[in-house]
Amino acid sequence: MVGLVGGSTARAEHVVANAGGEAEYVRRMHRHAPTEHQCTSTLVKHIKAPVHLVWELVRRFDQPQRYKPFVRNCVVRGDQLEVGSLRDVNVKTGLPATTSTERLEQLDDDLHILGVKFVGGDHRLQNYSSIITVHPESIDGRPGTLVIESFVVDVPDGNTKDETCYFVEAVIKCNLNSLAEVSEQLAVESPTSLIDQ
Amino acid sequence: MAAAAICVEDEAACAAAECAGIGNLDLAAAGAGAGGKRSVYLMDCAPVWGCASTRGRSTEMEDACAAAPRFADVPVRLLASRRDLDRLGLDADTLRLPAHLFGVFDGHGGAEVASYCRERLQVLLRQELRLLSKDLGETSEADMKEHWDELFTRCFQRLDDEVSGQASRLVGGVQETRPVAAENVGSTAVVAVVCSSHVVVANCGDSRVVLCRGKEPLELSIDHKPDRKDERARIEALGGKVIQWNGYRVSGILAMSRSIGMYIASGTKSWQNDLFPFLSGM
Repeated sequence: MVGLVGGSTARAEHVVANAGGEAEYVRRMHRHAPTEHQCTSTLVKHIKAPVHLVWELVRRFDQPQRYKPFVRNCVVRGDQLEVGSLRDVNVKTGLPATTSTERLEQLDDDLHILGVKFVGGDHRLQNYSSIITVHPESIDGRPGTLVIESFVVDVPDGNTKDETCYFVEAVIKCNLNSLAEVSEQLAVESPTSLIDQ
Repeated sequence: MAAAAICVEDEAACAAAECAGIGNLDLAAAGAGAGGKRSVYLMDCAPVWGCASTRGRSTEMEDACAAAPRFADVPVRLLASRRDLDRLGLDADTLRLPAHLFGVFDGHGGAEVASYCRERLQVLLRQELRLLSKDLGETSEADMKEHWDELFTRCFQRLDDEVSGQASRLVGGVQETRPVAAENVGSTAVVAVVCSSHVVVANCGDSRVVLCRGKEPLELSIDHKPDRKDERARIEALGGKVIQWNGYRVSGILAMSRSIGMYIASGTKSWQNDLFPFLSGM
């Protein structure tokens, strides 16, 4: 179940139990300063897989297709992958976009933070900026991961804030659910998880 | 005589059936007079068909089409009432018309579901038609519509269930329950069953069947678009939302309101419905 954590203008729906820890992470690591014509929201996902497996998937700026179901392929410009790098993402068919050009804003392997900003493409998401963080937690007595993703984006002409949030949240929910499936599958297959237990 | 035959064939009625709960099957029996002509039900209807496809703006071909001449026999009482058949001196209980199947399956997110539909739908339809022949009682025109609607609904639902892994399917002689493709892959499915007296059409998604009769095009299918009033109401009743984002889309993502496959999320039923409430059997 993907939950929603209240942001500046986010709806207070699906408030998750144990919001204490999450609220603290959101306060410290998911700060956005939306303007009047922007909307913002934060989503959480609990994944039954160790944090190192989840982070390995999330941090691959050059291979978002490993867990994002709408990505067909991705090409990083230049040879060096670092903060400031750009990637050109090609989107699968049937969706309201074909390409997205995205900049790596933040990559912290110690704090497990990935920040990405959209700088081009035909998705109508102007000034889109997102932060994903992953945090170790215990689920049913086993190592699990709390994933938090927040975003801020301009509300396009012709759409409302509600519609824009709904659309972006729908895409992020798909991504987070797929991330859970992929990493939980890896956790089952990984001999490391046996040693950990 | 050949010219007369063609002329009689041209009088065949056409009907469109909306799959999945939109029962608008419109059958009009076309019976030629007893006179000197053969009944339209006894004429051989040899299909002359061709297929052309292009991937258009996509970088990969994700469409599939099916053509299956003489894929099944249709009990004549699915096409005409007993009274009309008796009047023509035809045996309503045993007469079966050779039928041909044509279908178009436009994949999105990948080609796997479209390819699966191309092969599988005709098998399911053939099975259903065979079963149905044992089930026809006194069939009125309204009953015919219901039978076709139920038949197509069962086939489309089964297809959808197999694609999602909710129903098992045979792969290399072994029962397989894994999904045909990832959750973000789906396909339209529009099919036409053609026999000497009728064309019956069923649709799921936004592909289309158009009949060209002389110079007049006639739409035989209705697109499942999210901004269609009844589709939008159905989606919103299920807790979903239609958003205009480069066209009207379910959740702003998918441009059709029904699809074979394309579930995009595992999880609770309400979650699944919340995002993509367009299972073909819904």
